[in-house]
Amino acid sequence: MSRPGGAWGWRWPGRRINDAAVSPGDAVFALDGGNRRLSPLLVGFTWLLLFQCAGEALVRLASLPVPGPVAGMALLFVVLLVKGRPPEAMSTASEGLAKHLSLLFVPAGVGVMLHVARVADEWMPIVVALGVSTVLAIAATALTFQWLARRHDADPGERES
Amino acid sequence: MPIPGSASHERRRTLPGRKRGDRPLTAQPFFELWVYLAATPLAGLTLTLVMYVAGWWCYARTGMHPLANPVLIAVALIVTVLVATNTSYKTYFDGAQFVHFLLGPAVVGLAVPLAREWGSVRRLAGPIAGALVVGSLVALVSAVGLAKLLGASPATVLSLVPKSVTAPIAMGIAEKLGGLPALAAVFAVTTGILGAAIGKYVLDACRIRDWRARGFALGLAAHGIGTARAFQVNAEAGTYASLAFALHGLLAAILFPLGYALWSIRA
Repeated sequence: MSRPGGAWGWRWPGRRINDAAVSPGDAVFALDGGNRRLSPLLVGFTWLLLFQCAGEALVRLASLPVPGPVAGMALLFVVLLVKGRPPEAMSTASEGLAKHLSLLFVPAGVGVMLHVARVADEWMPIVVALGVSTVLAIAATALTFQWLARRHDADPGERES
Repeated sequence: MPIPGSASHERRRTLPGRKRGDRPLTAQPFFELWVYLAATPLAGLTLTLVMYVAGWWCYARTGMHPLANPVLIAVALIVTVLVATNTSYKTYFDGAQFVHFLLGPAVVGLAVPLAREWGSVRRLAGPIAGALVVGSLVALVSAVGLAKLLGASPATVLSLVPKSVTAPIAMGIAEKLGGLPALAAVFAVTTGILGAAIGKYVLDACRIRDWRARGFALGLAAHGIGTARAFQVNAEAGTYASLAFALHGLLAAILFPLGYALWSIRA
């Protein structure tokens, strides 16, 4: 995972590095000099936390109606659009988290314990509302997307003229 | 195979007998050790990971059957263990919070696939915007409408509003609306498991063959858990699922509290 571009992943503007230059030999290099190079996962994770902090700060200061991580995501998104391609370290960290995304929901799911009484009292409306609305939402989203995408794919000529 | 008469063979034969004899003596220190371990964050954290690995094992053994969802299995196993050992959720969460905390950076990290796919998003802006608005409204209106119709309490209804949004954002929205954040998280996780489990059947019944549409629908309706499922089935579906997941989270975080404020002014 040796990518030239500095330990922090960001490159100076104007210094373009050719991806084709990354050869299998670089892997050996990374092993060789690995003790000096920070793990991309660690670097990327640090960036994600910094953006989360920035998001929290923005939400507090401007009293925005969104959760901090969402503001952090929006900030990072804007920065990435300006920078062009996301740095390697950040892709590594975000993909690492995304791969185990379902694990992260387990503690919140176990929270059902706290609301056993409420869920038992109102189980019927809860089960019906969650079940029916999930089926409807999946069907409606997929049908709308497919219908619009077909119309979109059908008239690319019209867009060019 | 141990050689008969060798040291290891002898040890194996004699150990169980010796252990049985010691039990009355070891029970007390063992109980104390259990009390100590159960109270440290280590127990909750270890339990979460062990049960998730067990859930994943079941999921893999069934050939990634959608109904054998690893989150569902893990949650069921953990709740069983906690109830059986009379452990409170608070004690469990002392350890599990380290896993829960990672949802924050995971949400921030959604910007990466979003930025990477920005080119195709812009090209498909029409279908994406249309499906996002229609799906979000259908999920919201059907859940809230049905719950109200069937006589759910106001706090439950408000906690159902963000049920298709990923748990950390759902908790934030429920808090802003005056619902119960922890209940909203439970509804969100349940919706995610449900969507990941039945999504395939709904999409097959609707004859959706476009992987982009299948993924987008899963990500929108079943957020992170649906996205994880989509990635396991097809890479393109996974990309569109994470797109829907990120866009829906962003849209809901901004619009749901605003919409609710307007609604309550009018009512």
